[in-house]
Amino acid sequence: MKNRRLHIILYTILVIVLFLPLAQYAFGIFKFRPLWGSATKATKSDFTFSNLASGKYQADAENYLSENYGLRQPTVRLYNQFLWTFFKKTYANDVVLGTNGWLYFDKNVKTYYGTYQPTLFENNAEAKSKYDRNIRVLNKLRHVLKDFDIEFMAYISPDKCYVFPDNIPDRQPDTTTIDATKYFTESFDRLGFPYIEMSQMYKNIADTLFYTPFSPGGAHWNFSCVYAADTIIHLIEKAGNINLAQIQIGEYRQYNEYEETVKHRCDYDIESMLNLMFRRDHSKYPLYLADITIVSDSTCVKPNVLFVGNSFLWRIKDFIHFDEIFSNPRLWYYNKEAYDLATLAMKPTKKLDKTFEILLSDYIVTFCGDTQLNQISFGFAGETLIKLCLPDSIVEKKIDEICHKQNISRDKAIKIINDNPEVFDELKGDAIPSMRNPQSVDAHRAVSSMKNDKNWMKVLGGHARYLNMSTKDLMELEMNNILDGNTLMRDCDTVVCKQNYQAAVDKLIKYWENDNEKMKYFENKAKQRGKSTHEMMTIDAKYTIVTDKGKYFPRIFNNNQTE
Amino acid sequence: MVFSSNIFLIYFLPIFLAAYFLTPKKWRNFTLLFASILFYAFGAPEFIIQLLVSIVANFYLVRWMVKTENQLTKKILCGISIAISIGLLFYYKYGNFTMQNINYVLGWIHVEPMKWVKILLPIGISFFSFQSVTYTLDTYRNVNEPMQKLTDYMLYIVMFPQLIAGPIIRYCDIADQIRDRQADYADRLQGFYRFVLGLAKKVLIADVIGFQVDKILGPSNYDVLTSQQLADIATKIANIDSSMAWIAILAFTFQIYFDFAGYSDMAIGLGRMMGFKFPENFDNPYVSTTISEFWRRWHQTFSVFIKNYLYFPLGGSRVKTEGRKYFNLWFCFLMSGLWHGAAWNFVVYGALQGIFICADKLFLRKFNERIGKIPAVICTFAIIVLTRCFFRIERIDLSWLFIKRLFAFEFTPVHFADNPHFFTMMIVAAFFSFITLTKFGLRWQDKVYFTQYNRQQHIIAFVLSVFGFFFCLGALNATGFSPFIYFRF
Repeated sequence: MKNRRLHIILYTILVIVLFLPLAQYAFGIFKFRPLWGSATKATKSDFTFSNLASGKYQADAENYLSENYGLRQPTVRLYNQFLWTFFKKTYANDVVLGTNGWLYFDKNVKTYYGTYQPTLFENNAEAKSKYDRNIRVLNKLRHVLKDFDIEFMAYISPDKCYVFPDNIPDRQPDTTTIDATKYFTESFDRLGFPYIEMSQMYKNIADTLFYTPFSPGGAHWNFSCVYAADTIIHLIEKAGNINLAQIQIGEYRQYNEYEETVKHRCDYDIESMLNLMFRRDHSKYPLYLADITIVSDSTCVKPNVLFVGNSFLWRIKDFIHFDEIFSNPRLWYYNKEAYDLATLAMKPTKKLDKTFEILLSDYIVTFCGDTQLNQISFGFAGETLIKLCLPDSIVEKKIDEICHKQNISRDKAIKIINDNPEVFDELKGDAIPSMRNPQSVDAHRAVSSMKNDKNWMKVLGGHARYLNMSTKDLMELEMNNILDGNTLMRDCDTVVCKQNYQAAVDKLIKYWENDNEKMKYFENKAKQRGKSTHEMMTIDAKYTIVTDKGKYFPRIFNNNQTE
Repeated sequence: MVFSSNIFLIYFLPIFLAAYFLTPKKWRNFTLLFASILFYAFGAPEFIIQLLVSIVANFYLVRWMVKTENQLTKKILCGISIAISIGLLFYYKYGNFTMQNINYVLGWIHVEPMKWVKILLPIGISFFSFQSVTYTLDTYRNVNEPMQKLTDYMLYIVMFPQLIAGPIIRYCDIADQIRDRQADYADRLQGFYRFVLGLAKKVLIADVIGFQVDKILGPSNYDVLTSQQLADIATKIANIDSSMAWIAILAFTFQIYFDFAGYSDMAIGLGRMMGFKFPENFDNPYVSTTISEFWRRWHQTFSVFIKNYLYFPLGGSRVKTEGRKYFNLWFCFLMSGLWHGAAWNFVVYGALQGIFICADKLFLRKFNERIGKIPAVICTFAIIVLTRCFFRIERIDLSWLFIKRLFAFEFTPVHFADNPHFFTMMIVAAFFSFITLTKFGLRWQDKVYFTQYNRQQHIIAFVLSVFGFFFCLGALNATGFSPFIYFRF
């Protein structure tokens, strides 16, 4: 009898336990630490007969469930912990364990040992050819940008393997391949291209710092990145012969990345990818940070800066307010996502007016790691070189030609020319291209005239504040006003010039159209006045914008911008 | 649907168990039948109608056969019923293979090849076809009364725990249980423990080992590979050193055992939760001292089927000449090889097994008896490992090349530290494969599998099983999904 009671109890618990994943999925009963890492999200396919018959629905459902079942986090962490504790094994992509518990990305270890190149290129000749072309394109772009009053420079971010080679896994080096970093730096030296190779710099820093500039479980620099920021500032100062605000580091304090905000957990980003159940002991390598103050005086200027590069730069922004040093600091992350480093607002770079963004800059800094030198600037250099040098007609003709010849889509053809702008005869070889895109020249003239006219900028600044928009966005609109021959905002008594006014009226009408109650109101009002609803809405929109701009216009206008 | 899939473990299993035990006892077979149809339809929706139609046809044919007094008509109906089951199996499983070979011969004599659209293999057809045959023959031989209800017969064929990969349950072994069975709470719990044990064998051992096997030998199931992938496999095998070759084939030997035995444990466990007592399918096959013993311990329900429904009808050992006896034996193994897959490598695998069985009867067994138990186990295991080359590598030329590489004696050092997880699982697999050579192992096996647990044992087993269930769920989702090897047979 006693046994039977126990069996019933255990069986009841079993049923509850079996239902737990379902219940957790449906109701989220427990809160778990989310899993780290990036993956392509599985999607559910439609429950149709054809999907079912082909097995697509089942496969998709399995994949979806695998990523979304309740208790996924603790069960996956449990198994990962088992693998790690007993076998030091991980399923995290590309992560390898060095000595003393140090973690690295396999790609970086391979680069260190010279075994990464064969995964990218067939042979040295192919690698050299690609490297040479990248260097030529960077150098040509640098000279072309100079014509547009822009300084262009490169940073090679430090590689943890080079900074801490003692802890990397022991492997057989391949000395027959090209050391890409050495090849690039030697070429930059020869060409007088401004750059900083940071691995050596960090190796030196590591010897003098009282904490490790890279955490054992991290891929990126930790708080030590402020030294890199300081170096960037000095290089820009030197290149432009200007005075910038300086970084002042306060008193250091030790911190535990798990008790701090999420951003500091980045110090253990590789380790987080292991998704273990229990945290590793970090007491041997304590982390430190300090408050940063930006110090400036009346001699300091705030140039416009555009960064194009990898996640190393992303880490700096966690500690330093770039907008206190630069005007319109922006990061084009891998040349794909454009971040405003002041507000962290993001837009895909595809949606930007790239010509304006480039010409607005006084300095463009490209940032990449040792493993990324084969794609240094991530397509930015090629694309910009084409944009600034070649008229649209030539570019369009080439795109059509490639599409036709290779039977590929337009997007693919654009990627080909951006990767290799030397497909254009005008951009071939070592010579600096003499041709300039007239549209870019006009745009440059427009942007420069605004930038150099303090009063103009003052008016735009005032309008921007009034409209709750950034001055940069208004500059872009004003540039278009100049290029299109429209009335300039500079010359308007009111903020709303003719073109913007009509756009704002249309936008406000659309905005109202989505509001049922508002529409009912307009229908009634139109009936009473003997007008059509649309006429009534137009009258009201015009009236609202003229009399109540501060309240309505910015919101409508901002919506317009983000579309 | 596969037992080691999220859909099964997270949705199907708990919902089914709840529905099954909440249903009044007399309706439980319907719940099980409905769930089984859903289970099969989810995995192979395009074949469910054919499966159900063949089941219905067979049920009424057998019914007619039983009612018929005329012996000739009886025989004819029995033949038709078997022809339907075996015909479907032949069409789906061997149609492609047959046409491929016919066209090869036609090409050889410069005749235009015949047109043929490749047929997909319905999962589990090899298993449910055999069960259908046992129903017809057991009824024909009056071993058992035929099922009175169509739904009971359907349940016998499509019952989900054993539908896809066995155990192959003879009708006479389960007929009574379908009509009436008991499952107390202890059975339900012990069934769950067995299920989790099987899941662990599959996910924690077989899959880990299998991943490494695939890494060394390339993927299996060559039918679905491209010519480039096949060329890569050929290059891999041609360049493999002897150390890796031995590791790969040893690993595969353990993988297939833990994969299939794991599945059988899950099936038996699920059955037990519902009150069914399915026959055991494995009895520590790798501790066999002879090849004959191995086949009595490996995939037991299949061996029993072959013995009862092929070997005995051929005359078995009661034949006029010794030659015929050995031919019967060899032929049965040839057929069993072919049952595993429609490809020449499986034919060779079966033929080799047959040859070793005959050798066993002739002299090998006596030799093994003389050399002592442990050396005999090692010899038998070595034969099994070597013949597995033809099982894993699905092209005879490549299998042969692989065997050459095994004996090329080009060894390179292998370090445990290179892949500690894999080697640990190999050690674990070897430990559990051979532990029953000791009395201690046998005692523990009896305790775990075959005794009723006391209170303390229940609590320990329960905690371990629940932990194991979630641990396997984690393993499954940390590493990705892998179906069972025996699914495609």
